[in-house]
Amino acid sequence: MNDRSTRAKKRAELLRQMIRIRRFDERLLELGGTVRPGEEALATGVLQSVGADDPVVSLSLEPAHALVRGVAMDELLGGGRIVDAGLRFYGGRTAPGTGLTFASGLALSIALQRRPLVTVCLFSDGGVRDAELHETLSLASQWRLPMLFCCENDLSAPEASRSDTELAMHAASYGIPAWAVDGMDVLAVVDAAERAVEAIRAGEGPHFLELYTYRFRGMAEVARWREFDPIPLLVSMMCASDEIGLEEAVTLESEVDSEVGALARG
Amino acid sequence: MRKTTYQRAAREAIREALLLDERVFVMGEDVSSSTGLLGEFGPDRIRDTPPSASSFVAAGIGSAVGGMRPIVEVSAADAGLPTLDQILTNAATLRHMSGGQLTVPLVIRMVSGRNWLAHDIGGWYAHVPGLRVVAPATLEDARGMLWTALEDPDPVLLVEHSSLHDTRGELPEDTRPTDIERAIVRRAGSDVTLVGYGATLPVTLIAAEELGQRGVAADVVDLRCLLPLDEHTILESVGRTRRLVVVDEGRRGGGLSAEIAAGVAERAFYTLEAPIERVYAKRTDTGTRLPAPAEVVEAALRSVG
Repeated sequence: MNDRSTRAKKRAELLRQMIRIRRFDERLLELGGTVRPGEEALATGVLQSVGADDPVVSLSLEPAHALVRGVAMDELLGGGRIVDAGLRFYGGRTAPGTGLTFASGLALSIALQRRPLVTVCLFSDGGVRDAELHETLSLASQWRLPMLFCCENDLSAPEASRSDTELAMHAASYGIPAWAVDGMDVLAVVDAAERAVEAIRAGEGPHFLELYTYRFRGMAEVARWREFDPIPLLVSMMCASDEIGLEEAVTLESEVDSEVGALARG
Repeated sequence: MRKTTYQRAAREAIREALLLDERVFVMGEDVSSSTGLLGEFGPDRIRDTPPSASSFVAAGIGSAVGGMRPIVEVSAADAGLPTLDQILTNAATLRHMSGGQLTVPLVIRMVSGRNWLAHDIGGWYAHVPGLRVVAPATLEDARGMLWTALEDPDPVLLVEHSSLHDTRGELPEDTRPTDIERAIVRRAGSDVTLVGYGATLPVTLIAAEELGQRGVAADVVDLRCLLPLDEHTILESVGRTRRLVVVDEGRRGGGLSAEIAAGVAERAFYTLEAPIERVYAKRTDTGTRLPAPAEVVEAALRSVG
């Protein structure tokens, strides 16, 4: 297989996962849940860039993260906390800070066992004001823990806890390499996450990604959503480089539709 | 037999655990000095932390889930109250919350009694379901409970009252792991049951000695495990003596002595010959004061009439 087709295959998988999240969210909305369109690129890009043995601690948007990780859709309908030890997926902490420090412990066990694994911790900007984020950044930096902090900045935290500074700066102040990334562009997310994961596996200690996303709420924002929607963005990029045709895109969508459809009947 | 102290026995237990199981490591503020084991085991396994107790207890929880056997030290239990969130939300609930997929084989050594609030700490944590709280009160338990606690698949909190640290005594050359589930009768008698634990065990034993000189034979029960309580041993003793005095490290109100008294009243009310007596810590200008042997003697004499 040449590089070009490997790349096309990888991108098609990213597209498939993003569509799964979107369709599942829509199904949840029908069932009275809340949806967060705009999260697909972040969840997919980060989680497709890590290995099956790398522990994932999810402190926000849990169902989307669990879905990409491989938890079956019907297990996510209950709305309960999601833990799957076999998939090394740890969701459902209460407050962001409580889970961030827990993640540092998983990373510590990996460091002590001298295994080349990365603990991924996904949280949103509301968690930045938790004192424990700072304690965790400090410990992670001091002990060079193999941790990838992925902080979603969707500016959706309540006014009182919204961070008005660049979140990556918090991590940088602890000496942790930190980058801001366009969280709506799945290829940019993959690029950043792969670079960070490679560095962490090479023993360079914790890394921090600040991922900008847009959370669309209400009908007035639908038009704006389309402008930034990560799914058409990837489709248009793939079409431009001739990596996907209309027929394949339709097949992909109908496969996901039948997965979600089975769920609806179940 | 050899002479030693409570604190030396506890250190010896830590060293043995590090030698026997490579998954064991010690973490906490200045554990390199408190254990004196940095030279032998290195900074990976004798891990000094910044003074952020909540975070290093959480790191202990995460590393236990990740396959290690951490011993986390909280050297001043009252300053360690921020850890309650982690202990309650993560350590004590992860097994239940994950449908049994995750266990947290964590041991937390908490030293109480160093500050104004600290007498109550064991009793406070004894309200957290999912946790085992044990109080080693003797040299034998200071030496033997740690290994048993490390073998438990669920979190165990070892509460050591600082007033016990300098206790001197003798241990056999060949020490063994000790029980962390059952209370134990430390002195047998048939006239009155005295229940103590942790720092109140020596107080209770002194009182029992004095009662003996006055012709009252006290049965002294050392609780050892504060959660879950071994009610069987307490009820068995009360069944023989028909009188109960509970000696609490903490204050009156919502504490361990209230729980024990209520449990005995529920299950053995018609066995009792006298009202249940409680002796507890008193508030002072500078904090709290542990019960004195004289108070225990008074309470026991009231009980036997």
